[in-house]
Amino acid sequence: MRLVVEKRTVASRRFSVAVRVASVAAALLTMAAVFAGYGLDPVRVYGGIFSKAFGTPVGLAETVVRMIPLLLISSGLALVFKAQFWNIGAEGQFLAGAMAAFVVATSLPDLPPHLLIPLMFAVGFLAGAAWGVPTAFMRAKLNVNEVITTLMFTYILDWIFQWTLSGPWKARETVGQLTYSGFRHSVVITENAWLPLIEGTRVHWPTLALAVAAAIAAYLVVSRTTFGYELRVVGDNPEAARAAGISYSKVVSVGMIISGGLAGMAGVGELAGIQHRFTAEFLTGYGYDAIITAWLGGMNPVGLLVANFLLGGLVVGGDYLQIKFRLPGGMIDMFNGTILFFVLAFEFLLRYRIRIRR
Amino acid sequence: MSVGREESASVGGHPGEAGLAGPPLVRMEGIVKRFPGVLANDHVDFELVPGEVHALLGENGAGKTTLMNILFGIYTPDEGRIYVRGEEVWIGSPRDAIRLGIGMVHQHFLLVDRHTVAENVALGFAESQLSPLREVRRRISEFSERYGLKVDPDAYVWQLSAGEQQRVEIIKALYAGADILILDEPTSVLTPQETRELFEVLRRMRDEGKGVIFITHKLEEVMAVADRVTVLRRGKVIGTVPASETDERSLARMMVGREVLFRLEKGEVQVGPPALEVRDLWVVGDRGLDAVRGVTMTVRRGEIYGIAGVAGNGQRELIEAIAGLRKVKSGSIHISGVDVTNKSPKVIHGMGVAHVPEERLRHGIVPNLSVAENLVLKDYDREPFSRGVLLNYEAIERNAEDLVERFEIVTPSIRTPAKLLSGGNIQRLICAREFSREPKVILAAHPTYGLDVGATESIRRLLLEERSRGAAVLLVSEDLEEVLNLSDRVGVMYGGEIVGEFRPGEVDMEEVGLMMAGVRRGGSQAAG
Amino acid sequence: MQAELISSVLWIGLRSGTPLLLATVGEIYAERSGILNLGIEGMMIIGAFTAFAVGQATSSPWLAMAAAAAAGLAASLIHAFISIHLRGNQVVSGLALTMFGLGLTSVAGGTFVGAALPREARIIPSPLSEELAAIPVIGKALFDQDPFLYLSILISVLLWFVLYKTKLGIVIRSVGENPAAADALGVNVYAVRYACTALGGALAGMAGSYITLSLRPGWVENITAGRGWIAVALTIFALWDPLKAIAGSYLFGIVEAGTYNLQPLGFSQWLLNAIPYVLTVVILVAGATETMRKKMGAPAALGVPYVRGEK
Repeated sequence: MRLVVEKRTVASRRFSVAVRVASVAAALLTMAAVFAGYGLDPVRVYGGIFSKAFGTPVGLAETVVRMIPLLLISSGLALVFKAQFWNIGAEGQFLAGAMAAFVVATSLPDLPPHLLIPLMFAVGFLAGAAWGVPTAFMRAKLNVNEVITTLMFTYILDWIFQWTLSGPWKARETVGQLTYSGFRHSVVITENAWLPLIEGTRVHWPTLALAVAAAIAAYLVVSRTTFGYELRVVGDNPEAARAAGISYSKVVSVGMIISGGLAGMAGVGELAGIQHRFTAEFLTGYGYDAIITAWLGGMNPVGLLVANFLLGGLVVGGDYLQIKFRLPGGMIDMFNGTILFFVLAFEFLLRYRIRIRR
Repeated sequence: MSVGREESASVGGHPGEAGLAGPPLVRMEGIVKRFPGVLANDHVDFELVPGEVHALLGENGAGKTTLMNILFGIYTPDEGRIYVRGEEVWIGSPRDAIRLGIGMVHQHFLLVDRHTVAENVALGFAESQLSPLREVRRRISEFSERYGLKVDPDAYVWQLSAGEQQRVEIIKALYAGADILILDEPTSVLTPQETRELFEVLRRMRDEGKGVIFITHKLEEVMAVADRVTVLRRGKVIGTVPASETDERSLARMMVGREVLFRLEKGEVQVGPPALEVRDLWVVGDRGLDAVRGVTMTVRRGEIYGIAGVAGNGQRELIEAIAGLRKVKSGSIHISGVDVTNKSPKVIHGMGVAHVPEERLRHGIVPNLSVAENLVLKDYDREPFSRGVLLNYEAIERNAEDLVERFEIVTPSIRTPAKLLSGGNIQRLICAREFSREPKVILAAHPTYGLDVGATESIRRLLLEERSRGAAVLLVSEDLEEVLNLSDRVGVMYGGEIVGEFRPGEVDMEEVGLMMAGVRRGGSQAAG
Repeated sequence: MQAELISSVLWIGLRSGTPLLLATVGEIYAERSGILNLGIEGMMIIGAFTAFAVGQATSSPWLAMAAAAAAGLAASLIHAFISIHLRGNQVVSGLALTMFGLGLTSVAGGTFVGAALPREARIIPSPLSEELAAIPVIGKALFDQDPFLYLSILISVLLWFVLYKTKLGIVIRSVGENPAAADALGVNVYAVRYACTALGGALAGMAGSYITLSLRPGWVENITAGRGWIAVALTIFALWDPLKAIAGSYLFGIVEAGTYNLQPLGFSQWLLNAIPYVLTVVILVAGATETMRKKMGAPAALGVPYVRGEK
């Protein structure tokens, strides 16, 4: 008896979905073992995560709150991944968008909301795109590995951001007659810049609408436009793309503008919808989490919605784990790494068929 | 299966006797190998005795290479048995094969380009860990001497000609102590003279009692060097015969299963004005050296200009420069009188230049996109396939249905990913895409390379039809026969230059071979 | 005064270059065999934490280092299995390894955050010779370091020798350039790739251990702070050559150490913290330009899974 591995020509859609689901299930099982090793009852942990994230209206709303930035960012990432361009720096582009919007909100505090908010989103888009484009350019012109540069750009901006919180943007607090420099956080932005929420929740619906639109638009761009065609050709066979006169620089630059821009808008939503000011903990890793959902959901709006909703729930559950079981926040990273490992491992089944022979 | 015993004994004399006394070197029985959708080997029997050159003849896709890849351990058979020197063996990897004294020279050389000849040999055979190259250099010289395999051990592989690289491959096999040597289409990259030298090497090896398996689809080579021939067709053995008891015509019948036409009908076409003019063109190659050195040529409408020459003499760079894929250092390229030097591929395509690229899988198609999408690769951004930024799938699919029918592309559907098509159909897809816009100039690089006889014929017919329509065709091929049969004029390229230009029939093969080897310049001044 | 400053910058520079050097040389081996491992950061932090934990428990720095190497190796095998046998996307797998490593150490190290390593568990500089160490400017940097630092140079030189001067080196380089050619000569491509990836993992683990045992003896989350990514960049900058990696790593360490001395001149510490990452981008661009100029790119089969008989 031997195991024989054969190349699979096409995998059906149903099979692909089943494989994805199986890989996530395998990751959950593995993490269950980790919880058990930590001395926790996995059933209680998962039960807790589930009921917290999906079991109550409040929990569901929180899950949606986490889903909003994830969906926005991953729509752009899924698009640019199609060109085999690995933008790992969405976290930095997210921050760039938020910082630019902060500047807008603090410079034009008297602008009415219906002008100020769209302006913030527009500027946030441009800032996110601008923070990403140099890496696309370096890749296209000098063949510099974009995985490292996009990540380095995130680190760089993060330190600049930390600097602004200790200096230029640091809020001066007033207690009675005294003003003094307090903790490392900025002023609160004008209420004109605050996004409307769905009653009784923290769901900033304008960003949610943007995110859903982005997921659908990204899908349509990839499947229905000439640019999407170019993106797919570049991703599948860059040499054929060159021979057909498709410009690699143009494709990855535009792809980066879209993915960086959407990440920037997600940052605006986070600032204007939730935080309203900057603290040193403004970044929580949405930019990295979205890599996983982009990979899991693929270039498909429904897939993206499902993947991001689930991961949003996991993030909510992760917070709950931290509080309830005193588990470190890194648990989520471990979850993410494990999910990715299993997704990659199970993809083998999409490309190969394993048979047992005699 | 004892045919050819006396044959091999009569050839070498003394070494053949070893074969008579002992069991055959190789016996393969009932070999079956399936790939998804293809039965590559269908109960194949094959035998090799010591002291013979055994040709394995068949069209592309007949299963010759698969069978030999099984013998060399690259694939494992689904069914069947293999005996080496009388003992049944399981060959699970090339390592097993090497241990059994089997060596293989692949069609695509398995050499590390960036390493030297000695390093390439040491990779498998150096005995000393700490000074791996010293001993290897000495033995390389030894083999060079003994079999006439001239090669410099310290040269980098990328500097070597294809013929020299092949010698390195043979040395590697000999180094491993192989007395069973498999050569896969070894002459496709050689000049006629180099081919003769190779045959001499093979004869010397045979005379030492080694067994040589020679995969080919060229009949004249079988007659020139083989002692026995096994013919494969569609994965099955048609027969094994001594070469002395057969002739080219009957071998051809066995190979193809019907009488074959050896010449294509090529009508007279009124030659039009110049469509492609290249003047003193210099182009830099990948390694930073001049690959095209002052090429001047004119191709007129209704004419096929063939470029003969051994691969690596600047043909690829010439074609890429004309197509706009490679920068021109100096000189000029005109299409119908318009200067297109260093214009983008898009602009050049828009001027009416079609390109059938050299490596069709790498440059010609986008494997995971559908047949329909591949058919608009060069025109997706033009009416009617797109309006503004939106693709018009209706028009794209209508176009695909039309072209699939006109160019007889065999595909399950127009939405099938292009990678699932056979080689011939991929090439028809590329031709359909490139020829359907009625180009003025066609650049065709190795258009029939690796295709089976049927597909080869249809591609050649397409080129001739385009010529009749009035296209100017620049044809690059290593298959000298193809160049001579299709072309109205032929230029021989060597070292980046056109060293001779003539009309087919004006110059004999010997002369052409000397030009290809860079020994002679000339030919008639057949300038149009 | 000036000489003292330079001397201290050099001394610190060589020290902070040490983890970069080990990780880079490890990645050079992985990449030379054709495996792109972007998980260095993850393996490094796993090594860093393991060294910290074992160091605390045993007070033996050498045991801690060995444990770190073993942990890094184990982590690298996940990536190796996905890349080699399962033919998965190596970019994504490397990222997953980094996430996993950061998460795992955060979970495992939760209760240790802020803890310092006991003195006897640390690797401490001790002069090779007092006289030599007293040479102005360069003496301290060259002759007053810890044994681990000298060992890392030795390892790098040894690995350079193996790569360029031995048959094993030819085998490794061939597997990364043209695995089919190596396979046809009976080389076990998968074994070579596993071994090189594992070596890379062990060295990344050791690199991590130097951080917790010597550079910043103690434990905080994310203690590697992107050094793994810098090593990936240095691999390209060094043109996949361990000797050039020595130069590159120390250069990086020295420039980094030098910039910290700008703080008294009025530069914000926060902004100075960004310098290593800016520098990483700079050396990536420099490395890319250099490979383009010399037409000497990455190993030809880098990141491409090998399957016998498949193109």
